[in-house]
Amino acid sequence: MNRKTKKRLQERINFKLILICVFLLGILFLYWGFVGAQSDAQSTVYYCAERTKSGAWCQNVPLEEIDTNYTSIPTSCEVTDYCKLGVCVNAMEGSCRPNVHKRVCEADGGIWDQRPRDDIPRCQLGCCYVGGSAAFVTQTKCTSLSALYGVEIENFNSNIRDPIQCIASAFPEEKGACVSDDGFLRNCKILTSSECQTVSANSPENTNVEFYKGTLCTAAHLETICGPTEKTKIVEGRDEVFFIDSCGNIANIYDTAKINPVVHEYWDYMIGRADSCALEPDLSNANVCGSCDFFEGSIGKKYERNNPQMFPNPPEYGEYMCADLSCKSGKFAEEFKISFGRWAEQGERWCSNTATNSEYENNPGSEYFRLACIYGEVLSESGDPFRQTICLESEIEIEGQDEGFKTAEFRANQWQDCVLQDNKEDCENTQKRDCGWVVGQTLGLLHYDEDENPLVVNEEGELVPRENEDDERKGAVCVPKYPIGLWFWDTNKTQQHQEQKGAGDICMVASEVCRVKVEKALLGSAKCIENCHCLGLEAGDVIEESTLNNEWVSTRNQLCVSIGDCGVIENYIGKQGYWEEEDLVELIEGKWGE
Amino acid sequence: MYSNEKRGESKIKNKGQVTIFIIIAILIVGLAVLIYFVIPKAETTAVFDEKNPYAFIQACLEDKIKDTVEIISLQGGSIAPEHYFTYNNTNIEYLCYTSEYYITCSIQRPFLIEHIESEIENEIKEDVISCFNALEESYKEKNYNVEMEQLGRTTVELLPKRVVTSFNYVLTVSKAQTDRYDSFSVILNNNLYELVSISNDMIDWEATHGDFDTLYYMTLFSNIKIEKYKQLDGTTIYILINRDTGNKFQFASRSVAWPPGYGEVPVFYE
Repeated sequence: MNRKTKKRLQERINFKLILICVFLLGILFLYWGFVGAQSDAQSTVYYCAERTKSGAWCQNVPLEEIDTNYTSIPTSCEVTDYCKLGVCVNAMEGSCRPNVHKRVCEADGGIWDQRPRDDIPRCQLGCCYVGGSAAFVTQTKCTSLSALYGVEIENFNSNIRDPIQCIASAFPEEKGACVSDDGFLRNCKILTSSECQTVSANSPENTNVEFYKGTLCTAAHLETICGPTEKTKIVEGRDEVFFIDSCGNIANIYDTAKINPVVHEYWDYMIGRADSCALEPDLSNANVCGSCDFFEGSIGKKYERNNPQMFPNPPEYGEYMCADLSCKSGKFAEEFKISFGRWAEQGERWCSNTATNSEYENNPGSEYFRLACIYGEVLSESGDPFRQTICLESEIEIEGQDEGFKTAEFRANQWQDCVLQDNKEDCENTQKRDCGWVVGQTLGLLHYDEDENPLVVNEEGELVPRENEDDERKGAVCVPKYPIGLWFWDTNKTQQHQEQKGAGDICMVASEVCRVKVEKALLGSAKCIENCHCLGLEAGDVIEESTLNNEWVSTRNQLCVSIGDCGVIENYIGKQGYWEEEDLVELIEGKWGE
Repeated sequence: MYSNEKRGESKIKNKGQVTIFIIIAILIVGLAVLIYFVIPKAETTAVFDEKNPYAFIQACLEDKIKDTVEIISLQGGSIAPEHYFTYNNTNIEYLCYTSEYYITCSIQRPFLIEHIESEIENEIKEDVISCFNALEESYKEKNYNVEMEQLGRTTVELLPKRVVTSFNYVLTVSKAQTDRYDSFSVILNNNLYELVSISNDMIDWEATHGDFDTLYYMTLFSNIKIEKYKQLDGTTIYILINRDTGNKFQFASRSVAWPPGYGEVPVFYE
């Protein structure tokens, strides 16, 4: 207890008989906390502004935010003509964008349609085949894509209504050796059959062009000018590392066992990954085998000498090799290793918190975030501010491993109606809310029934009125499991911001009045008679020894901090705030019964 | 005496040294000034080859287009964003926005690719004129008769892996013979088309469902890195990076924002 408070306390109790302790954080009734905020908000009238002062289109905003050069009506944008939401169709491009305001769409030259996207014929999606791959787009978009890729005749299938089916239905044209023989040299390129036909059509008359499906340009029987090399390459859209021939064509997957000495069969025909060398799960043979697989945690990349995490050994030939995509460097990767005994794999996600210590996970300033191992790097993604979303972790079991594959998702923190629950079952119903039932504490409205009888918890975990004065059952309160963050630090904001942040409204829920009865003798010191625990005293103790640094104040503060960013608590990095517990208490004198 | 002579010699020598040092210093400063004023010009001035005016235009406009594309990419598709969030001292345009809490955003730029194309076109307009004027002047200096005609406006197209700027100029030059040049264009290798297409998918998702799952997307597409930064007011900054080329596109969105506490419920009077 600081000297100032002690002195203030003593000065008052020397002359007055009755003390009332009130938590500064607010007044009693929960009702005021929840409804009061809403009634304040009702004083703000919202308009549908065609444009706001900040430049946003079609927003429901208060009068002062409206750009007066544009239309505005004191109603929701949903019911206006100019700001209705619908689908905006780009007739040229063929794209259909949802949730576009009529005004915005028309201003950009689009055609606005109120119907759902699926009901608009020109927004019907189908499968478009371009350049050996497929895209799930509109027919108009397919036409423009075909033009972009230089395909004269578009191939659009409107019967396919599912993107996965569309992608699966794309069978890239098989490639092979396209050999051009001009009588002197036999040149060769790896092309598709149709590409080879184009080459043939554009070649001089004396050049003979032939296509050999599934054959490499290095095939001995083709007798081309292209031969095997030790050089390697990676190809866009493919995970593996490939050999290239002396003409620069892609050959089979990099496999050192096939180059020195040259295994001719390997350089004659195209071989799939299944029949190529097998890459070990720990990538221990990545220097000799290029069968990388992104979904298995590796991908072909240029070798980087200074990146031993991704490339433990240099490749035996060429500049490319399978890179290890598991996460092995950085603070978060190390923490993962310590927690789970292994490095994080490609695609794995897990939860974390900005707090420096798990004790501070829900303290002021902390936020949940999730981490993901992507491409050998741990990337972080924060949840919504003020702990309005929380991160939940789960795992997929992997045979033979103690620790499964981690996954993590954000979910809304369902804290809003915790304090309204008056029984344990409802309070701890995890389907509906994220709350915890705390016995021995009371909260504003739920402290007393309508007749001002204190409420206590019965055997069923429900709050019931206390039967008599000898009833020693305790009260209880339902509080958020993940106390929320509040905008408590900026007192210079506008009234609107004060309403939005609502720190006071929420914190006041945990406020409490403790009436302490004090009796002062004609001669001698004042004695405490009732509720002396609020002053850290026993009944009959002399008031001069009282303190606000007592268990009751501490317990009430614990309740404050379990609601949200209220009360006195260290922040997310363990730094103590400006206030101390006794600063939360206000002493008000009065006569007993007032 | 000897020592005095020596001292006198030494003084003269010192004076000589000081003079040399001063001259060297002046030379260095002069050289620095020369480098400062001449080298940048040498770098930016397109070299004129009378047989290849296309190369002149490419050299004259390439940097400007490159810089413009870079600025636009970092600012959400606009040269001067009107409705933006300032992040790391950069004003980033909101492509999807709602001022309210709990609801999905509405798309603010439905035709982003076309908007970017028009932004680039407007930004380079003056440079295009000055580059073609410079080309005309260069031919005149070499005693050519020059006829230059602008048939239409400059068009910018965002295409897969490239940005193509075509200039509808026809240049006819004659001296001993007459040559006609009419296919002026600058091709910039850039993945802006791909990044903007992905951004459009992300915005559609935000407008329909709310929060976009970047990690899922990155797991599927190995060459794209998406950074996502949530701000206190509910704004999300998305930064898309092509891992292979380093090309970047960033934009702001505010969708299904959560308030501190309970937030405010809008009330309308009709």
